Amino acid sequence: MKKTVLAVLVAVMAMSSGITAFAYWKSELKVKANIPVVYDVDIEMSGDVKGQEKVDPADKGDITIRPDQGKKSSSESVQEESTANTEEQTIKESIQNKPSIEETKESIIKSENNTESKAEADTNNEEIKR
Amino acid sequence: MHKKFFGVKSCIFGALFIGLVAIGTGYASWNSSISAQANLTSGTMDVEFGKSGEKYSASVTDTNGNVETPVSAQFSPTDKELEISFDEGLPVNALLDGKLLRLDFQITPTGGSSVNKLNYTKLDLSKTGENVELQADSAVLVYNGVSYALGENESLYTQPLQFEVYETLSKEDKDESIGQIYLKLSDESANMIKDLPTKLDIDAANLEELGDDTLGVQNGVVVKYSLEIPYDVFQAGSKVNKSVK
Repeated sequence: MKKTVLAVLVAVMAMSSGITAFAYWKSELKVKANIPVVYDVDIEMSGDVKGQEKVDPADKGDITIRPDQGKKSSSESVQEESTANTEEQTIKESIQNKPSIEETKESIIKSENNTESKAEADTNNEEIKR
Repeated sequence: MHKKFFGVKSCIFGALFIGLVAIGTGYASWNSSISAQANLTSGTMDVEFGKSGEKYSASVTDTNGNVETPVSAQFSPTDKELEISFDEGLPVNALLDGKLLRLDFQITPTGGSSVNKLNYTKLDLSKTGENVELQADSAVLVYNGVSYALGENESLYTQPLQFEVYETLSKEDKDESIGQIYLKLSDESANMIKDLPTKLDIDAANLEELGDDTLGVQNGVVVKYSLEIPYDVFQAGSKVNKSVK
């Protein structure tokens, strides 16, 4: 009995001396980032990009700046049409208010007749007086 | 008749008693003892990001980790977290050529840290680093310096990217510690990028303008990826190499 107890104690002591523990300190930090990556891409744009009107360098010396006719927005084209319509209307009205060519001829003929009749009346009066 | 009070046995007992008393008294008189008391504490290790802005930088390095091209970025360190926002985009061709993105930052022990000797490591690209996945937050088309929505093409460019991460810690002058994080594009993601379309036909009528680009890009597709990496600092003597698996 004593020998078994002694053997167990020796075994336990031998095993405990063979176990080694290794520990180290650690401190944790955190890094956050938003990384933008640029991909090279060939861009073919069909149509006109809004808000990018170009001015010809040759027009810089001109008094008026002409926008490129091919790059007008729909709203601008509508406005121009409306102004053109009003101009046409005013021109038409002015034409309508003006007398026609025939009327002017008649008025001229009438005025000529009047002058001729006046001249005849004057000559007649002179003859009577004599 | 009275028995003798002091028998032989009694005498012997008495003599032994007196002898032992004499021995004990003599031992106590010629004995001095000294004692030592020691208190052992395990100590604490605590580090944080330094507040000096000069020690923070971002750059593109060659395949050996040497700085090649600096990259403009803004650094916002708190005690335990560092947020980085880039002022310019990274060309993907540089990453495809095997170059690394390097982030440098300062590390200092706190006032209550008693373990101030840190484990310094060097970059070892011969071994595979830890894998990290970067999620794509957004993708925009930049044309003549203006950002537009990609529309149906956005799903092609918003796939996550796989990177290999290498973490090192180096010692600068005056006992300053500088941490580095290297990001290397994985082969899997490199092959995925090479399969992306390099030509886009865009209908200007369907473009949705998002505003002016702030990264200095004139033409291309800009994809923003979010990154969150834990950076561990070990005490000197530890056998953990964080830069490799």
